[in-house]
Amino acid sequence: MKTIVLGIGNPFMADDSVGIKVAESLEGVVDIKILTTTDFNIIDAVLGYDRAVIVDGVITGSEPGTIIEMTREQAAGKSRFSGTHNLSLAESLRIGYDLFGDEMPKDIRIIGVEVEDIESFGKGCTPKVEAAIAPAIERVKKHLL
Amino acid sequence: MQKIEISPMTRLEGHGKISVFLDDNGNVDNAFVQTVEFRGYERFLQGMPIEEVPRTVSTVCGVCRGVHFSAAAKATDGVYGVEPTPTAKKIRELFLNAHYVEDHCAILYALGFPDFVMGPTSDPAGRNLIGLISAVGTETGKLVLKKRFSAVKIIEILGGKPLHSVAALPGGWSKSISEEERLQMLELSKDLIELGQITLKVFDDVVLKNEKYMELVVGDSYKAIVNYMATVDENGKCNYYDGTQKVIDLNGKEIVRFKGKEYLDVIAERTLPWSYLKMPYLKSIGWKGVVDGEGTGLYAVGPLARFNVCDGFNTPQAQEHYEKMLAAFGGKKPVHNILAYHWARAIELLNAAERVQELLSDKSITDPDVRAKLTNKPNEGVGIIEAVRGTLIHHYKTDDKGIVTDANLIVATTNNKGPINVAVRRAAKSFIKNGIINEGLINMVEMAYRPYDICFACATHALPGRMPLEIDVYEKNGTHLKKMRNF
Repeated sequence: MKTIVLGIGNPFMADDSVGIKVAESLEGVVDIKILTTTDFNIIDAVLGYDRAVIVDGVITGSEPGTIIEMTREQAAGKSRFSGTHNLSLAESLRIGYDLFGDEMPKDIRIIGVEVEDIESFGKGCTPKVEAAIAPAIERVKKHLL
Repeated sequence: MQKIEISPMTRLEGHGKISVFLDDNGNVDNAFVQTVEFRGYERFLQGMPIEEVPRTVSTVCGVCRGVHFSAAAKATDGVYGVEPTPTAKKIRELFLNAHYVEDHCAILYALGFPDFVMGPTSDPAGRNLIGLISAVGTETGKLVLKKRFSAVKIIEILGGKPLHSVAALPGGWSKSISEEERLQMLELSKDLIELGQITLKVFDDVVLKNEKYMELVVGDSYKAIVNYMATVDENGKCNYYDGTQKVIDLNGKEIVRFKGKEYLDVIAERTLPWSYLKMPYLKSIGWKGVVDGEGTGLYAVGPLARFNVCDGFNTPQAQEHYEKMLAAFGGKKPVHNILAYHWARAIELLNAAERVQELLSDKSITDPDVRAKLTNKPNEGVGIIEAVRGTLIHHYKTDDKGIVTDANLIVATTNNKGPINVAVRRAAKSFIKNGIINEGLINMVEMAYRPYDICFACATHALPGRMPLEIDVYEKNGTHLKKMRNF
């Protein structure tokens, strides 16, 4: 099964880099791609793959480092579209499936790591989020079996 | 099913806020657009080798990555006092133009067209790209995204990475273009031209042929009567990568031209009590307040500013559309109707596509001489380009080892802060009457800032991503009447 892992975030913004770190650790194991935006580039990245795992930092109010998994439907949340400079992950995926249904992955999972600090500059994550990287990698690997 | 609310996800910073104040009769007294500013990136860059700066600043914003990369690359040339080789300049221009196609496409289809296709007062649940696709058909939607992807492929071939390029070096570019790559990109450029043509046809069908929408485009509700700044080439035509910055007044008369560090003599910034983001104005006119009309010191940048400042475009099809747009406004410039930003944007998409094809049609772009030698000690440099959203300035100082000691970024959204406030206030006064506020009317107000495609991530130098915005309406006595938010 042709699989890709996408890491989303900003490599220089503390915990916002967590998705990138998880994806980069799987280089050589599976196709990976790093994105710093969730617009149409998400569609470009996953088109033609059977399976995609997207890893990103999330804010849900849980303990930092908490790992959550969701489908794209669950990720849709309560997004609205008015006044954006960019598209959300859920919006982009929905557009992808609406337009390119057959070419989009049959299986898509989103793995979120609860962040603590996404405002400080630096390549490292905060300790709780850093500790969640290894379990998040294992969670991604389970989907690669 | 388990319900997980992840709204918002990360990359939330750059929160925008519009505050509308009503008078005793429920009409609009004033309105302000506010953002939260972080100067994080400028600080973060200090202590970094200047060579690292272009690929680092490309992460300032996930959307505007190509423009920060390009402006910083030009600034590194200045730091080393080196002129890139002719081939390196062509490659950089090619890269920037491919980015224009990708970015303008996203803005128009995700942001601009839905207001017109779905109708400005339609239900916001359908007034978006998904609603747009339902209206124009999935085949058109598919075609647009597929052709846009050809621009991304060109960026990937040139930049080394599809999203955050790594190939810029002081004095040039790190890799030359092979003949095979040139031919591959030349083939891809056909998609870009078709995308430009499709986009102008959509604009023509949806907006220009609709009298009601054209009333909004040419009417008085969406206006900001200000000065304009853009970059022109030696023939006065629009050039995104290189040229001279030209400023005209609100009647079209040239005020000043400048290059590089001279921007400091032209632009001043005013601190405002209600915003963290400083508001720029023209030094030669002085600060006259957040007002438009005769005597204003405010200026605008971006597609409409380029249309107003430049004597047309440097490619044939775009020039033809430029003349058509000019005729629609009675042959008079400057055009102050801000919904015309979308029209100018659509023309620029085609212009950038044509320029990509032109540059790739010239075999000399495969010349291997893509980097000039560095012979000077690093010091200070300014890189100015026309970013997709308007004039972008990167200014760096380094020590004699090339380590950044000071950085200043003036982005398009910062330049446009004055006109955005003027435009939102005018629209609010036009549409909010007698205390009646509903979602449709609020969208009519929001339509006043969307043409500028505000990039809070850039303007605040914070995290890229979805731009949350909330609108608060207050009665004259300060009572909070209503809050509306898009997140």
